[in-house]
Amino acid sequence: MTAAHRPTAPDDDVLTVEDLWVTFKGGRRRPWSARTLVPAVSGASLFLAQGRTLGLVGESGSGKTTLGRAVLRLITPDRGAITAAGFQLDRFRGGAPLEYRRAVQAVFQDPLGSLDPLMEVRQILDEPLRIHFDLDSRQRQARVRELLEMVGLSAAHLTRYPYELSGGQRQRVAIAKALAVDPRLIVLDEPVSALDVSVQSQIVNLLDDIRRDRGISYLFIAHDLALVRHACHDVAVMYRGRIMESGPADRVCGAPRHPYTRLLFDAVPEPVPRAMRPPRPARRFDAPLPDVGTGPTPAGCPFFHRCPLRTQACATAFPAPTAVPGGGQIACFAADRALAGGPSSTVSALSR
Amino acid sequence: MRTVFVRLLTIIPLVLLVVSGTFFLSLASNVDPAEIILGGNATQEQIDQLRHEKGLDQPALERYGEWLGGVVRGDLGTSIYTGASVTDLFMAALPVTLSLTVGGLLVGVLLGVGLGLLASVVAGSRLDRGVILLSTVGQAAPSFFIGMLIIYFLALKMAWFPATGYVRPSASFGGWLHSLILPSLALGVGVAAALARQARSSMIIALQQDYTRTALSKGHSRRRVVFKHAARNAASPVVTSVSFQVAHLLGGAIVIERLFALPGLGSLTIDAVLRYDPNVIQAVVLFAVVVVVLVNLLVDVSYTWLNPKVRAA
Amino acid sequence: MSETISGTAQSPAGRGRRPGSGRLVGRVLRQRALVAWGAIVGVIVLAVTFAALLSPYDPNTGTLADSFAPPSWEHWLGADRNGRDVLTRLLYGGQVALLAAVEAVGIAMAVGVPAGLVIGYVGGWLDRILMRLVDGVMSVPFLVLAIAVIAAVGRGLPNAMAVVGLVYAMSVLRLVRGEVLAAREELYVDGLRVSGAGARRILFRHILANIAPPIIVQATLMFATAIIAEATLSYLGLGVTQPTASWGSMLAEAQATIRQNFFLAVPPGMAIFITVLGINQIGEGMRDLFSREITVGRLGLNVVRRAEPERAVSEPVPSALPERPVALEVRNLSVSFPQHGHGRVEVVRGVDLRLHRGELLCLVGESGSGKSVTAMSMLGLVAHPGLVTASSIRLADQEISGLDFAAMRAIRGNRIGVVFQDPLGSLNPTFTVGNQVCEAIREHRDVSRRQARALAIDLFDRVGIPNPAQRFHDYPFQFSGGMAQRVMIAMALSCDPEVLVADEPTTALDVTVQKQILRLLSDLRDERGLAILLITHDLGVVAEVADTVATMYAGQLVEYGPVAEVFAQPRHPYTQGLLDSVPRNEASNGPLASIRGVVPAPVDWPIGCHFADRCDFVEEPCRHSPVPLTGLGESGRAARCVRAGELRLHGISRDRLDTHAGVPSAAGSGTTP
Repeated sequence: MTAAHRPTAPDDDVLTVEDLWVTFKGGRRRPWSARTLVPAVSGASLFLAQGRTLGLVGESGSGKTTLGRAVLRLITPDRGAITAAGFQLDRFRGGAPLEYRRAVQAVFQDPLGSLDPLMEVRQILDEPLRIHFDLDSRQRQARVRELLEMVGLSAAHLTRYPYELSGGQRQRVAIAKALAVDPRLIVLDEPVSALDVSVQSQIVNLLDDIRRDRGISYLFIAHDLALVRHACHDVAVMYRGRIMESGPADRVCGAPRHPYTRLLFDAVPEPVPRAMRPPRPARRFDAPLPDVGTGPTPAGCPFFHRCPLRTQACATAFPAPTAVPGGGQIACFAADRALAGGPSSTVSALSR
Repeated sequence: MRTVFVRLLTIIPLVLLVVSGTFFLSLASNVDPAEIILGGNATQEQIDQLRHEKGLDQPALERYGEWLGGVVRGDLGTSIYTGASVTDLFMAALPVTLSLTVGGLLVGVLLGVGLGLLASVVAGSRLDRGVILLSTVGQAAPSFFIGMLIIYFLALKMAWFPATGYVRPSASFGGWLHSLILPSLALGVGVAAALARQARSSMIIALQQDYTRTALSKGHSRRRVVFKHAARNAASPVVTSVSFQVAHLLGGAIVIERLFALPGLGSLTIDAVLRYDPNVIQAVVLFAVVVVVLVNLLVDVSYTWLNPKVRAA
Repeated sequence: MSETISGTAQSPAGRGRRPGSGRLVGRVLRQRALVAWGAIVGVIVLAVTFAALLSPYDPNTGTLADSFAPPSWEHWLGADRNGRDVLTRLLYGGQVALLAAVEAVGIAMAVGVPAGLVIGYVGGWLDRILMRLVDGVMSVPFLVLAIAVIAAVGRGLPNAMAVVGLVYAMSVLRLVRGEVLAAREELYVDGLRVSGAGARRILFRHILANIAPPIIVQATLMFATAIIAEATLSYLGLGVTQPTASWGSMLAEAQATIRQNFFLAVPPGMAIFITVLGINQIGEGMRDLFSREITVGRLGLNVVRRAEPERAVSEPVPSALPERPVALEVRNLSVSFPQHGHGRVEVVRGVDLRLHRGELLCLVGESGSGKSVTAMSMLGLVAHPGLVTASSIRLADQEISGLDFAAMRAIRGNRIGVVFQDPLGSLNPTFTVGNQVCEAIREHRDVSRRQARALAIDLFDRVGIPNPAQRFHDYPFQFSGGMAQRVMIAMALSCDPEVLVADEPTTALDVTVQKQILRLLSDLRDERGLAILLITHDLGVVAEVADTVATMYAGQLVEYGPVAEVFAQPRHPYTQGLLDSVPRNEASNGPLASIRGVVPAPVDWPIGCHFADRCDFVEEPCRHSPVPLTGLGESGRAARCVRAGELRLHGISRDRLDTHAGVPSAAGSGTTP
């Protein structure tokens, strides 16, 4: 995202990602040949202002989790600059310093797997306090109780083990653990995907309350688009390692412009029965995709093989972002055609 | 095929490493064969002269090079004690050990995998508990004790089988088989016990997988689900277990040969240790390593057949 | 005692170790066998330790006059060839065995555990080099290696057991390294790194504690093996030196005189046997203790039984689609499992369902609702020790409850097809997809291989798999999730069944792929008049493809009816709560609605309405007695609610239909978090 398109000044940003590249090394075909490279994140850029929530959505293989892990410094990127909570990550040698671990925290998807199964809740919450602060035992106990209250649990939960709690309760413990060090930024990697729908809302509401109270910013990684629209101020949509579209959540979710985003939103089933929906023109799009003379290359747009607006340029290069009226950007060579569509688009030959 | 070749190449350094290790280990030992041969009353002069005769006073690397060169040519040196060619001793003893090992493997695999499979299908029943009990007992009793019991009941009391001794197949094929039955049984029981456990647990895991549920949902018979769908998937860990057992068998053969007085590599080795005859020991170690490593290779090759994902890689 | 699977890698999440020392002691005592064997081994250890006190004889000298004396008052187990008391030698031999094992296992742990921890966590070139070395050493059979090294370092038991210890150290190292590698990948380690925990804290406080159980078990089993190793080496003459007593050397001596006196072999042999057996059992018992108990079931032997007639049975609900023939009808289906301390616990209670030809019924519920178990139990696919009962399960005109395994085989795959949630896990990885589909066809149809192949390729084409003839020969791992699910659908339809049961078929798939699969299923319903029972937790899926919807909560069916009607005006507060909780693609307007509280566990189901504690409309009569499923007159609607007739729930309200307006909608009266 370029500076021209940002509603807030750079100094207010708690997270800036510039041109991030992460590749994983796969196996070797022969013992002497080089390892195959698997690109996970390709040239992603985004920013998050203090006190706001940025949603990062994509399907499997989009690279959103990898990006989150790079911000958490659980993996090291190949290129690109990440600045989070005032720290420049490329200055880190090896692991992250302790101060960084205070400023940037995480909540993971699987609440059972992400907590040490042999520790009681109070030990789980006590540990970050021991690592980061110089408090005596009584002060730590008080703080642990405070944290429990903050996430809606009671003192009775102190002596429970993770496997004795429900999914929602475990996730509350994980959130309390993240809050223990009073961070500025929390990376949430699919925090509610493993929970029942009725519990998801509880957790999302809790996160929002906490954010308002404490001014924490969230990087909210998810695949549920409707949820992200509710939970986030801004959204970035990823596909196969690239950021395809970004902008205010209401704009991106309400009026998606990039062909991939539109495909995505079109595919999400709304909980409204067909009989109750407003009439929409039938969208049986079996129209063949345009033949532009070349096949896709690794340097080109990853959506090439499914995109109805593709051009020859799309095969060989990835476009720079174009601004979208209403907020945000899309990365599309056919931006003019994409933007010409309008909000409730009936652009023909949109793929299924 | 290419992978097999590549693996063979990587095996050679491994074998070399292990065998060289033993060689230098024996050199580093402060046991002096010359002293042992001559006994406690020998003078230093006599000892030194014997050492010179046997070539024990040559520098280490020279001895190593000589020995290695010999191995490549097929000459495994000479027994320091008797002066006989180690290769000859080796070749005479090898068939005995091989017959015994194969016999033990057959008993172990047939009995063990068979019982394990059976137990997994009727898991939780009395039959299953019986198999588990048998397997526990088989693993707890040392093979030579089991052997003694077998000798007592089947050879001494019943006189169905010979208690000791080995009959060469060239002399009498029937006699050869007959003389191998008890030793194979004694050797194979422990192997069967371990394989039964492994087969049972691998099968139980396979039977709890989603693809077993799918197979049932298609309306297949129990036999098909067990033998076609589950067994193929349970095979890999069992095959790995078998390869471990082969290593075990080679060691166990040493003990069983002692018990049944079979003139195999085991007896050769024990004598070599008691009399301190390093060339023989090295030859045996070399043999053991080569066998184990070849078996591992076979196992890896079988994986490609059993597991299509490996094949494609 | 239920049997656990040996050799399974246990995930830390499955371990309930150390849940308070009180609970652990309780579990230990429950494992009576463990306690018994512990006592036996304890007695042996004590007897052996106090050998000098227990026996007046010297183990190494004897009077020749007593040679081969039979068991008597002077010599309880008789005397050996040299007149030495056998029992005394047995006790002292035990000392040798135990000390030798302690030495070997001690060395193995002292060397192997730290090395394994460091190598496993640090990895890198150190790991690569050392593991090559370890592989090399371990490629020599244990006994051969031990003998070779003993030959070099000289005989004598302490040397021998040191060698044994070092060889064992290699396998301990391997085990520890493997466990650390696995533990390192666990998510909680990421959580610890993010918390700021350093490598040392993670390794020693967390990983070590989590992997300690298998290491302890291994050490115990290794102890037993060490005893056998000592016995073997002493038997071969490479362990103890004459005249020291060792169980192994006693066996060697007994062998020499086996023809005259077999009995001499029995005491040492049995001593080894019992000690090793006892220690093995303790090790296995500990392994059971530390891991989750997996009760092993019999293969697909779980038929549906006819329910006892005394059970309260609701009146049948009128059909929602009376003009179509009934494909499947289920009355009063219940499933129960035994739970420790609570006897048999029901997880599904009294479910009634009716499915017509050409109808797609969605069974909706969250976790704990019992929806999957319901579907699986109808087909007899619920594992032992689950107990399934039903008053009736009719497939068209045939009653299929009460059928045995052989009779159900003709139904499964033939008249009812099943599609499962995880397509890649549900296909057998070792066979080609073509093989598996043809197998399904040939199970129920008398066709040749060639004909089956043609049919299969046709099916692949119909379900939208490109290049079907080529893909026929591919293995499951070569398919993406969506394509694999198409294969499963093809397989389920291969014999043209009347009913298709799909258990969360799209949950594991991306949303764009999900849409295609759902479209495929609805097309198949239209083409073939297929009756589809689709289980899901996603209301969007329900809205997309369902004709009728049934909501399940805590083991019971709580609402049923045509989907448009149920969504427009639900009759059960839970359905309303679900509809409110689902986030929709519309401008955010305050906090998301949710349902307060949690689903009760089956043991905690109340007498009355299961939803009472979480319901906004609860009143006294709701909790009083079991609530029946009552028909609501119109078009097959039914609800399990005392107040169904009087509640006016708003469903998916009208203003919320305009998904693009961005106009704030009047927030519903939904429940608060």
